[in-house]
Amino acid sequence: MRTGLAVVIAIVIGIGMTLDYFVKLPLLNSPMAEVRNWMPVVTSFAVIVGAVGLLNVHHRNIQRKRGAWYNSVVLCVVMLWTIVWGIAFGTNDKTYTFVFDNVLTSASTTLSAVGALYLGSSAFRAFKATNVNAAILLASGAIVMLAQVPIGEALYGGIPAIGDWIMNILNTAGQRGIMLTSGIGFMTVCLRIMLGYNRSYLGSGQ
Amino acid sequence: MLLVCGVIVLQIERAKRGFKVELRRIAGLEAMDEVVGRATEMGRPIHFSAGVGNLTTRGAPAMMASLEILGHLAWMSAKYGSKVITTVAQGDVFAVSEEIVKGAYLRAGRPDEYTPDMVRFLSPSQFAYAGGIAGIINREKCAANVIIGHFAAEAIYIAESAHLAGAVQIAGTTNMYQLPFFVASCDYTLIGEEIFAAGAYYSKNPVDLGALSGEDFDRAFAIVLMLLGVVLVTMGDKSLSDLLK
Repeated sequence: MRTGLAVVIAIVIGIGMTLDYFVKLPLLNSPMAEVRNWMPVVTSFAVIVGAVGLLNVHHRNIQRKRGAWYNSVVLCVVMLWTIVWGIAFGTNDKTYTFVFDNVLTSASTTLSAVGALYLGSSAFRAFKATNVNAAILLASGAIVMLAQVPIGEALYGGIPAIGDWIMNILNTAGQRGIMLTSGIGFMTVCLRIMLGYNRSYLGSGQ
Repeated sequence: MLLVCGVIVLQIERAKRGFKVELRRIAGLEAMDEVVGRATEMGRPIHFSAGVGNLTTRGAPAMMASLEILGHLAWMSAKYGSKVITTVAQGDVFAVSEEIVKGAYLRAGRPDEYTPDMVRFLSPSQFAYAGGIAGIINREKCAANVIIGHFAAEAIYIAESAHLAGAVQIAGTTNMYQLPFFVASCDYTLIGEEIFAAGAYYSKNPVDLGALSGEDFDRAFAIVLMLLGVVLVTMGDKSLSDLLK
């Protein structure tokens, strides 16, 4: 019964939203606009469910003194402090903003910088001419990289033009092919859900 | 759009009536067995992530396809006695992932082995999420890392962290900007539409196979349209390109 109702809701809302995009009909457009307004509300509740789940997992870590449980203590304290302080004094409060800017923002920037380092290490592993395909990847990668720096042009004047050709013709054509086929895949997934064929999102062995 | 969708529905109906659909081998999807086998032998968990997307925005279809893969992976793990740790970045994905993993354990006949820490909500902030994953992969010594879904700039950080931890990796996304990073860092990469084939690949049910076959017809139709467009535009006739604008 519960599963059947969920499928019916998914089908009705899915078809309604699709028609709403193409058809101008107040009888359809206004309820669908209302449904769109519900989405942030439902999503916000889902975040609460996630946050409670996170606290549960870390609460269990602390209770059972699992490895590095002290990290869980830090997480729980910081999370609860952020929620309580944010609700009590608002998200524009000076202390709240100070902690947010000096913890989350700086940590995110650090991770982003580490990502740049990882780009180099993964490229170093990938650029090895172990077979024909890898050799083509290596050669085209080297040309594109050289095309971005002055030394490339100094080595051979035609390198920037070849680099641009690889990026604008070969790369763009390949990317568009993948985008087009992915787009058709997107439509299939949506269609299967809208027609009730795909029920995997309901879990419970559907 | 009606034509594209019509072909898919037609192929689904044909497959239901016995039309045979052949699947090509997709290395990334085949490797799922290897991943579960490796994790079971080593007695270590598998990490799964569907990325930072949610179920109401542009990346939703990729997330749905990814969650189908999670269902299969969790079922296989339940069957062979290994553990999948699913990390999620969005509340709505958390609720659905929990149901899928619980359902997989139920299908495998081992509902009592499901524990709440198998699905963990980390953070909607992409780098906080990536940092959380890196920590989990290192602390729990994951044998494998399966990252398929909607990823952004955090992709390279997650993939390289898992590589440094020695995990075998299967990655996949439809985000063009992140695909090169996955190709460079991971052992297997599902490129674009390959992730949408997962449902049919694992279930082999007529509906999924028919939908996949319908997609192929649509792709062939798109190629024909493109070739026709090239010929017409070369001859100075822009009627087809104007029609499709």
